[in-house]
Amino acid sequence: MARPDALDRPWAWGTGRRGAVSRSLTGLGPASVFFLYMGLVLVAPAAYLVWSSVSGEGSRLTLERYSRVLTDPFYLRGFQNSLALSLLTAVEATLAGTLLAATFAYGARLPFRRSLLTLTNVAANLGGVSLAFAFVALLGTNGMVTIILRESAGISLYPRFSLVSLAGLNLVYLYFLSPFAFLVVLPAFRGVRRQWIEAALTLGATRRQFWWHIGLPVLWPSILAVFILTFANAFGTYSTAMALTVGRVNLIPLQIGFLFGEAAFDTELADALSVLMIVVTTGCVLAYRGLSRRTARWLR
Amino acid sequence: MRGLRLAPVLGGALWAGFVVYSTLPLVATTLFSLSRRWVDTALPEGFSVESYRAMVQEAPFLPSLGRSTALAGGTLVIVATLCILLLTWVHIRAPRLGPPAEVISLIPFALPWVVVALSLVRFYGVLYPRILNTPLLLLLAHGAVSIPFMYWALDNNLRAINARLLYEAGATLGARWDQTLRYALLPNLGPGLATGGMLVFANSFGEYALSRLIVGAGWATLPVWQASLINRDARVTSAITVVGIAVAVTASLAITVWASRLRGEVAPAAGRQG
Repeated sequence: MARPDALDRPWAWGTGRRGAVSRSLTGLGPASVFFLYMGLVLVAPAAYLVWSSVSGEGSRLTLERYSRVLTDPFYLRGFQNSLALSLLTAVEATLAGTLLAATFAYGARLPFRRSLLTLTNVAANLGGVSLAFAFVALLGTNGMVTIILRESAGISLYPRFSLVSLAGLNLVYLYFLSPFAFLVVLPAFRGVRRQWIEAALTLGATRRQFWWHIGLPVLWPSILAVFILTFANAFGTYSTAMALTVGRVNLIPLQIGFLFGEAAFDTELADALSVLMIVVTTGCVLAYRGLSRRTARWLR
Repeated sequence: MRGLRLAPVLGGALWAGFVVYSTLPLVATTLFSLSRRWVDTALPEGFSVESYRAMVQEAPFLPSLGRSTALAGGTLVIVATLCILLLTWVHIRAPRLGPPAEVISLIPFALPWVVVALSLVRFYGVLYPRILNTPLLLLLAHGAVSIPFMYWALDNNLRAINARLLYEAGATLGARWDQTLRYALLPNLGPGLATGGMLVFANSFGEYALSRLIVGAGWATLPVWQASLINRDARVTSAITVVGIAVAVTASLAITVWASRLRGEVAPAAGRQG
């Protein structure tokens, strides 16, 4: 379609001189503001972090911090805790989210479907300090459940259970990650059309055969994708863990936060820890993108 | 169509468990904030609004509430401006920028926010140290990590209204670009802006990691002050928590109402970090 010339370049202010840079910037138009902003606030600082983690004295490259981090039993323990907690949480949240989605999409005639959907939205969006305290009020040493069990049944949760532990964090993370997994995987279940099931049954297949040969092969990339997303989310979580444990559990995000405080002391170590985290979470996001491309064609 | 055979029973039990698990912490906090004394009896000994009065009387309350509100409002303005400029341009004039823009908008997923905070402090510590420890740096950080919320909402919205067609119709009728934007596009972007905006505001209002690590106690936001109280004054903390949860829940409720007018209803939930 032919366009009047003035409309063709609505944002081309001051284009008298047309160097290569200014030309490519006007090509980006107003979108350049976005790219510039994200570049200056996220991309460049992250790139600096990567560079700083490997640059030694006299601009030589060094992997010394990485070898230090990866041989230090304290940080290894931190990685172990972070990975174990995120893996466990991701498995549980994916399982819960998938089952919730399956029953929501096909199974039970649930009452209040809209309200349930709203509740999952609310829960998925809670987190951080408020959620941490809500769990203290529920399961802390003087929490509601702790008190009720103690006063009416004589059962004492403490000291066998503690909210300030990996198990406690696991419970709290599940609060927002299960509904999150549900919301992300639900569209995939909507993609498995009822007509497909009906067609399979009409052709004489059993339900089990349908799910084994058609349902699961269509769904597994989405389920795997949700697992990866919940894992990355749990792995990077700082707020909830910090507010709940005040650093009494050894997790890598918390360790990075602590190295902050002693800024002048060993910043490159924090850089190396951060880059290792970036590697893990970026790998997750790339894998997620790959998988969601794969599933996109079923979800039209 | 019944689907899985076990589903009716399993599904009902599963959802019942989910509802209990999702509401119990909220009930506990609310009860706790309203109870007079609740230590050695199964139920609170009495109810009062004492903790809310104590909260309001604390000196840091109003300033930190003001800071969090201003921060969330500022973040909303930045994010809305960036996304409107980017996405109207991408949808109407430069679809080829779509893929790179999408990749960039995914970065806040790929970077844990503690890493974002560290990278900003390290980078600008070298480049422009005067910005360290300022609310401005925190605002810039919030603007960047909140992009996904608005991006997905607005992207879906523009796709749903077929923005390019509207633009071309406007152009055919002789409308200038800014007229098309103002009279044809923006009025149709209400649901997207409202959905994304609520998420951006609620997320920024309750955000703790960046706030603590970039400005900390020097410019304490509500969550930073709240976290410093957790082990000191459970009463006041419970009242602040109810306020914080109320903001988050209001946002979620508003979103589910507005999002039903959009097609990509679940994508926005994916951006926050716990």
